[in-house]
Amino acid sequence: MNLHSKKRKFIYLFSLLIVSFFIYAYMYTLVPVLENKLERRIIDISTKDIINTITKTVRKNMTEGDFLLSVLYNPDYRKKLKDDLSIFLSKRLKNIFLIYKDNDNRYRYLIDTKTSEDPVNLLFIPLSEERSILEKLFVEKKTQFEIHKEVSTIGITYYVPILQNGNIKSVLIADFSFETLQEIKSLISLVQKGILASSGVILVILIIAVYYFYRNVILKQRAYIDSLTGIYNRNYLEDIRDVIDLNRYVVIMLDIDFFKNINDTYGHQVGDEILKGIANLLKENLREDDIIIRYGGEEFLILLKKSRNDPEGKWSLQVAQKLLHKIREYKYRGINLTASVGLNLDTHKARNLIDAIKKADITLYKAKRHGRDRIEIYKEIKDSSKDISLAELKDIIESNQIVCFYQPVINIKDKSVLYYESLARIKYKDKYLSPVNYLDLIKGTFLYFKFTKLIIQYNLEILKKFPNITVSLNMSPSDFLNDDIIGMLKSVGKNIVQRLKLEILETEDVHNYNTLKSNINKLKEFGYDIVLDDFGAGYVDFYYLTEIDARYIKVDGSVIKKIPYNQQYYKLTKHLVRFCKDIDKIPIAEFIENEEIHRILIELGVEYGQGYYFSKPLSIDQITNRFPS
Amino acid sequence: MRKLLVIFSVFLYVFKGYPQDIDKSLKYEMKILERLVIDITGKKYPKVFFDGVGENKIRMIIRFTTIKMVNNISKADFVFIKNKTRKYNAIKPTIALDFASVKNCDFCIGVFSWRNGRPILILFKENLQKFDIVLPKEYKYYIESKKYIVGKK
Repeated sequence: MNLHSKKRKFIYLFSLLIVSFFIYAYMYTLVPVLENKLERRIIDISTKDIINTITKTVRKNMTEGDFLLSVLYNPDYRKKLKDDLSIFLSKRLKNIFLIYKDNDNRYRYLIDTKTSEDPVNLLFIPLSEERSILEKLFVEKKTQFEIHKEVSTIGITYYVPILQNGNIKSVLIADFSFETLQEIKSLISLVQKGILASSGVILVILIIAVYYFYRNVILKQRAYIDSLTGIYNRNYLEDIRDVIDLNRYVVIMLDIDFFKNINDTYGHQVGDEILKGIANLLKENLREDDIIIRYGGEEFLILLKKSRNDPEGKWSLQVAQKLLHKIREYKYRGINLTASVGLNLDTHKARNLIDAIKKADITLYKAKRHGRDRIEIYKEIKDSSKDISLAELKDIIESNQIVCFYQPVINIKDKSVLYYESLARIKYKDKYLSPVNYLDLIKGTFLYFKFTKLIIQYNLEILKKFPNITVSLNMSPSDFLNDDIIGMLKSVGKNIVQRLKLEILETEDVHNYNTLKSNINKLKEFGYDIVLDDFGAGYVDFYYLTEIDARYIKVDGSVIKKIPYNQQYYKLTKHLVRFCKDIDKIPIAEFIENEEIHRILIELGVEYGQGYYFSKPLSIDQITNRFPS
Repeated sequence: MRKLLVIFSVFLYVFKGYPQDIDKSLKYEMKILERLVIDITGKKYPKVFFDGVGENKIRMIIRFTTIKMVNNISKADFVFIKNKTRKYNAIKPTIALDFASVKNCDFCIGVFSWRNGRPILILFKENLQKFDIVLPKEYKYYIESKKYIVGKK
């Protein structure tokens, strides 16, 4: 058991104790109050009738004259009243007597039914607990009763004001025996035991419920927390996806750059420590209201709560900048770290949380492609004719509405065609969309591989139909890791293989270099020509260059198009061409857009190239008409 | 185990019937009597002579109050009488513990008894003066002329 779980257990037990204590304290104060109320209610119910009858007897005997004076000075009247009241005396009703208050505020007997003597004017000494009741009676002029605690000679006493013309003339006092009180108390005790027993049962049920509730909460928490970093995992995302109010959050996807290299170089233990460190860094630099989730291996999803002053969530850009700055500053054992961020501010436009995350994720990949250690903000594509949804794309792919356009790679001296680069297009709203418009939407999904397979299939058909042409296919590294695609390529006949080149794009991080290298080299052995695409634009070119036996190397267009007016690019191209030749590779220049570039490339000794100067991508019929073999 | 059982049985036997809590009314009465005698005599441990008072009552008074019992009335600070007659004529302030004893008691400064389940205390104005007894003002309620009492029960 680790310290964290011990602490949690302690908190849980402590909370349970506190709850139990409060329940107990509540019951402890509630039970006597209930008992008291019940006691008084039972007494009232069981004695009220007899008291009413006694009171009626007194009232029936009242004359028109002053009651007090009549009783005080008329012994016969006194005797009659006493005789009438004596009837009510019993084992339970022990004493019935009348008192009055004299001019010195002292209470004196008028009639006492208990004795044969006539105690008129004898001092009545109330018990100390009775004094306040009598005072109250003289103020409120209402019947009172008291359960005696000072003495055991009497149990319950009723004090009934005898009113005449609104004035209290006398007080009728009726004492019930202590035994009567005991009987009532034993009855109450039974009820009390019942209440206590049921309270006990309720308490036990409550404790069990609280126990299971906390157990459930803790189990849920465990299921939601990533054991390595201590932040939420994707299970939590599943739980909140349908309940979260997206309008109140900005979605940030943050990915540690080149994390695989760190794992490969320093080992997984160091990688894990870095992940923990980054998670802590995020926790320290974000608020409690923000939700941090470990989304993938080194990918963190942050749901940043918008502030009231910033409903658009623009402030999140500053937060993301701060996080990147902190990550740059964070150096675990001197290892420099950077991260890329995809920011989705338009969460209100997303269909749901997953959609909003997907958009942030697409933007994160954009940040990766554009050089990493940067923030990219998701932008809705304004051109609605190009704004294709995933559902639409799925329909297009599944109904195979895919075509390929072809751009010739030409010998720039004699203008003969080396091969045609196949460029995939989908037809959407009367326009042909290039993969840049939709590829990110399906990257990593089964649709992406289906798409690749359809392109391969399409080109195989073209090659069969046009036996004199050679084409190249653009393949991403992940395509070479897909067994189905590898199998498909290996099932192609040798005559076709000789006319099919595979261009490796550098569009994504690769985590399994060994398999990639092995699969590419197997295809090479199978007869495919390998072309390294976009050389000079990425970061892992040299790996491909050294580990993969490519025949052609395409110098990236971003380099080529600048050579007429930038000496650095001119020199870079010059040396790249020389370098390619030194290692026995054939350089191909991309983006030859004008005569000037064409001239310089000839001057630099480049043999092959492609670009709008020669031809833009065209349909197979157009291109074969334009460049007849 | 057997030893423990024996010790427990002995303990139960010894404490069997020990008055852990005396009757509430008796406690109330003892409190009143103790306070009354202390206030009358001005002594914390007043010496009292009991004349005609039952043995049980005396035992309770001695046990639950600071009152000390003396067997010689001349040594007493105070006298409690019951059962109508006062055998000794020594001039000592006296409280009757029943109404019947009041009539023929010249030295009675008051009466303490129970009526309708309540203690009743009445102090005689004339006799208090006779003994030069000045009581705190809380006693005002209880002070009456003896005339009111004689003949009543």
